[in-house]
Amino acid sequence: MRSAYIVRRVLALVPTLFLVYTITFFLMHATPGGPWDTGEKPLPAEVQAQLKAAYGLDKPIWQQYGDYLGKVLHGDFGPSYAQRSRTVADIIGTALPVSLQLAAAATVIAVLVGIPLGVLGAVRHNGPLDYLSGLISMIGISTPAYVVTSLLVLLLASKLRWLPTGGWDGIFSPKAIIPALSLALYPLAVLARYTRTSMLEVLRQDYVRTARAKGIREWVVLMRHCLRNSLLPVITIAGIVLADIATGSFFVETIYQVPGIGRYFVQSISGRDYPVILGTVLLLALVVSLLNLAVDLLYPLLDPRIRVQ
Amino acid sequence: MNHEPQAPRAVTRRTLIHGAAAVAGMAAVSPILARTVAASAGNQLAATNAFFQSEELAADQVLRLPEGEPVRFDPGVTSGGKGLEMLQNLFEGLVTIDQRDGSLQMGVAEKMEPNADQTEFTFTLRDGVVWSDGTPLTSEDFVWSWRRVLDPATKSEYTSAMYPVKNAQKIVNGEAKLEELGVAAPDPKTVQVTLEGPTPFFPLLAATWTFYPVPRATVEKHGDQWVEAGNMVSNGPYVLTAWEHDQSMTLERNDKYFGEAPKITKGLYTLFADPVAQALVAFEADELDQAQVSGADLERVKADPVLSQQVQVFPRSGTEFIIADTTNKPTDDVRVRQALSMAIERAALADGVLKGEFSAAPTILPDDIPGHNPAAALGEDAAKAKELLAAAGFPDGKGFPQLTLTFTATDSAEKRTAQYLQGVWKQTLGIDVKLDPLEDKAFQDYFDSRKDQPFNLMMSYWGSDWGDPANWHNQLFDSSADFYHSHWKDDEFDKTVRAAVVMADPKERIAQYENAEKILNQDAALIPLYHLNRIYVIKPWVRGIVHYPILGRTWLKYAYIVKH
Repeated sequence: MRSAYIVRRVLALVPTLFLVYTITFFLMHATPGGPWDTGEKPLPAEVQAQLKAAYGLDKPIWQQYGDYLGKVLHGDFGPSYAQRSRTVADIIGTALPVSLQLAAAATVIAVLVGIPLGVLGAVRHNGPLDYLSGLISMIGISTPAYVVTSLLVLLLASKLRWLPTGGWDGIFSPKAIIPALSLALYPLAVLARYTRTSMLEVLRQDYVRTARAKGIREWVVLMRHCLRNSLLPVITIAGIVLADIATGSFFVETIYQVPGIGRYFVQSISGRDYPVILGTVLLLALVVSLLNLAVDLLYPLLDPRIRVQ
Repeated sequence: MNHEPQAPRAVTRRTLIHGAAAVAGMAAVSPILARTVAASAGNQLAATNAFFQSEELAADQVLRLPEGEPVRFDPGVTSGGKGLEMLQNLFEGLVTIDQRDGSLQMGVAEKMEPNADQTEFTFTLRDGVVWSDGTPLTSEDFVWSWRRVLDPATKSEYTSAMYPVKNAQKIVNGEAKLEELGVAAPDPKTVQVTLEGPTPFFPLLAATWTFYPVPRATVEKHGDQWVEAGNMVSNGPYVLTAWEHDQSMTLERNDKYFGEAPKITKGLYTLFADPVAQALVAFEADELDQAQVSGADLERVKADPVLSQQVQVFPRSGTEFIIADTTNKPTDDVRVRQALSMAIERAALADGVLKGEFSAAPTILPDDIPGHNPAAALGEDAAKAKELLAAAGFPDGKGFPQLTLTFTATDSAEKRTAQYLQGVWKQTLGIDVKLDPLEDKAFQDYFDSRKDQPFNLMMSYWGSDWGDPANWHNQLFDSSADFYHSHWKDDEFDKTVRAAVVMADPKERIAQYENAEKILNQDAALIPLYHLNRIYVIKPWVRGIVHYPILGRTWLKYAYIVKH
């Protein structure tokens, strides 16, 4: 039953990705400008013509669409136009682990800080701690990642000189701190908000009053009886928020010089590096779809009333 | 208020004019070559950093610099842009330009002999020149590398740089075979170049990256991966030892380099998405020894007590201008173009609007290019501009159609200039201009399509590739080139520059170009706005960094670090 569901959901990815490929392909070719002219001067027409022919960009657009689709189906995205010595597979192979590490670190921070912050807010409802938790969430939700990154660089790197101003040396180096924090702030805030709301609701339930009446220690009531039940809506939102981390690192990676998928996504679009655009867009589409699937599969584990069908 | 070191800049300018003139003269008269123009870039820097008494070399000669991830990193492929700086440090051509004074120096070749009409150049290689892996570098390497540039399989974007070489353009157009390219290796030490026509400036061109030799064995073995660290073999003062894509690149001294060993042992490049916008913060945190200052940061840098002491301004041989469609109404009327030009107050634009980032340009040619002619300027005169517009049938701008000014939105100087132009033209001439900023790739697309489509006004610029007016007048403005699609055609201009380009007498040649410059400016074929500069902050213990006005960029071999 379960495995049939998974198979069905995975199969549904195929038309989704196909649609993403098609839309991206035509959008990027409809965008003015081409992969060349990255020097400072325009290229003569005959040189542009020669380059187009060499890259097969002189063929009718439908033929290019079909030819490239054939390659993509064999897993071959070809070489990057800008980084001639690397294929799209090379780039994704080195950039994806970087982004995943960063996303994992940000998730851990968001969960470890955001959920307790929400619980705290609910337990100390309308107290100073609740207001503090609310303030942090408000800042986190309303401040875009590129502002957070820039401010952290300005404060921690430029003024205090505690951390480097940019770069990447693996997740366990000081260079990972600013990007991980920047990425974590928004999901942290969202998780804190949802946990608080949902926790407040659960705290009013009869079974919580019963548990307390039976003299169970408050700590156990909160952890065992309330938190687990209040996490269900949080998990729903976590899927969306995680997708946001995975895809929302465009600014963070670009500002902090992190060689992850987000940076290549931005770079390839501004450089009209067609193969890299397609590779990264399809990858992001796949990541978002898989995360949604994972969330759907997590529900029944938390709430036995929900069954996959 | 201006915190820029004024004295060094004045010296630089004067030196450059001499340097460039010397090169042009040398190339024209000929066989006299390897010669250093006496001018010390070291002196200027010492003056700037006078408080550093010690000239003693520091033990650690590592220079930390910003760059972008190289794009199409291959000397035979790239048209410049990101990565060119590393290529210039890694490779060396038959001849090379001394970046301190612009003089032409011998490179891999030890001798260069042109024939009488400068249609053929014979280069003799130095004895014992080798690649960084120890294999001998022969004249065959040059023949193979130059043909490789034109081979469609190479997908080079700078084949046009080779056009002066015989049959190069025909090969691009598919009308000749690769083997017919005008370069031959009669013996392992001789490179014989045949040109399309008399080309006195060919040595300046041969010094640029498209003409560098590339290592055949390595390229054939690794294909496009030959440029990766570990694969690459080079012949310049440095070798590539590490390349973490989009993070860093390391260049180390090449023990096999034939020339003097440079003092900088290692160049550590941090690869930014946008080095101009992003490197300054890393410089301030002492992670870099040099950073370029963009227009947006300029005011803050000048006001900062520390940074303002580290600013160095390097004039760049280039000009920003307005291109008008001279076959489209109303800019087909010379009086309209002249009115537009004369209404502009260039000093106010450069010093006020652009805060001194760039310098006012009364004429098209920058002052380091021979043929630069101050008398060619159309001048600035609001009253005269109004008269001209009235004479063209638009008194006080009445009945004048709204014009569209198209430019690159991401170029902050162009954006501010466009806003200034809109205001000054409205105020002085009473005409309306619509601003049309485009994303840079979209602008390139728009620009390319102006070849056969009408437009009103565009903004663009040119930076010299080599220090000769032919790089401007013949390659850009000759009506057969019409590089900027202004469709401007003036028979006398065409005649003058076509005669000048092959003229053997350097004095007469320059006089002809000065004349051409006058026609170009007086007819307002293009409307000059400002000459370009590069503004850097450099740590005070770093010496010998020069950004020559032409191509510029940091050459590690001239730099050194003093004790600090």
